[in-house]
Amino acid sequence: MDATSPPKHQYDLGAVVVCRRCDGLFQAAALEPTQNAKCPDCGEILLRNRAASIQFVLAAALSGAMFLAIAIAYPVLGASLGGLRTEVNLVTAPDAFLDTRFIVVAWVMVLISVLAPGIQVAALCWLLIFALRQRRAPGFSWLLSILRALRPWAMLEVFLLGSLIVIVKIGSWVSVILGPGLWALSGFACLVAALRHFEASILWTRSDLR
Amino acid sequence: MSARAAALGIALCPVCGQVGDIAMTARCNRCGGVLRLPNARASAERSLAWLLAGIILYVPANLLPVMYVSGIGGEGEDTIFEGIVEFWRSGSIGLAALIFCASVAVPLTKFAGLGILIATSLCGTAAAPLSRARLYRFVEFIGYWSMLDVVVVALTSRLVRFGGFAVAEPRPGILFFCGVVILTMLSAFSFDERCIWAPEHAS
Repeated sequence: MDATSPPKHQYDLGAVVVCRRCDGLFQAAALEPTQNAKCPDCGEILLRNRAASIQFVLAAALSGAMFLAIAIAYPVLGASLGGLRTEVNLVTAPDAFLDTRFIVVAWVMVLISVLAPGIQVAALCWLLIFALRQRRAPGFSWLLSILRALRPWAMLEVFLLGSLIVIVKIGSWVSVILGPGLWALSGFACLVAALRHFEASILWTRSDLR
Repeated sequence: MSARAAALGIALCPVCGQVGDIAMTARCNRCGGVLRLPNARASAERSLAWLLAGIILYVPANLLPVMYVSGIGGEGEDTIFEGIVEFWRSGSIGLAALIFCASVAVPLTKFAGLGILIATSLCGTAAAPLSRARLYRFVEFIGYWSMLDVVVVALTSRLVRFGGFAVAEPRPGILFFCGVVILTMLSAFSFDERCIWAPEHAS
């Protein structure tokens, strides 16, 4: 495209908002602290108050990091039969697929239950701690693109539901022990909404971040 | 309905959300992300390729056993559907329904939903954009719950390792099922939602 061709429109690009879902174009409006702006066409939230969400999401990310550490360090479930005991936590669950035929599934399990959620909470903590001090964290744009790419692959709530099903599934023939990791996963599941729906790219729009 | 940004040559940076004029710059001037106008045909074809791959893998995922179990009740290999029937027979009707939703209803809904979205996009229709946008969000939302079966097989075969007493092991069906979930997720992500609203910009 010719870089010198004049724009096809009369808009000041600093004063318009484009919906990321339906591509609708709107004039930006000033928001009160508790207001959100919704897309009139598709209902997506276009703008929301930011200062509050940074503190709230940082709190969620820090607690998420602690819950995740517990579910990695302590068993999520245990089983015993005839004096033998087995245990499983987030990191050892992919062991089930160590057979070379299934090694791909093992890597998928590592991604969805350890790597994606772990990097997600770590990157959010890092970015938001700097944002609270009105600063742009080192690795800012790189971390934001990582966060965006990993978002759909963090599936700890699926892991939690799977654990609950396994309790019933094997409970009739072995005795099942609920580990501290299971409670930690339940805690993490409560935070998922906050972590998953936080649009980290709003950090770009904070003009005070330098 | 309000104006579409694409009709005016304005594109949203997918990385940082900055608005850019495609006639002036091909890259976002804040973060360097590539600005693209929606291209209905390209997005539908890419999405269709992932979807067809997922549908093909869905056949062995259902025909092959996903887990081998030996224990008090004898030994045997279960496909996904046999696992659901077993829950049903043992009286856990709610759980059977839950697993049926996650491993049968969700993949089939995704095939149908993405199929409709891709077909309407390829036809270039402008009908019912809001319903189709809702359908897309629904498909996007339910997508990853199918991974439930993979987690159940992983946890069961990791826990039930009691030598001669009871053993559970994964079987190849789970590999294909995991593939179905990932391919249909990729299919949903490669479909550009903006095309639902601006079919006339298919180029």
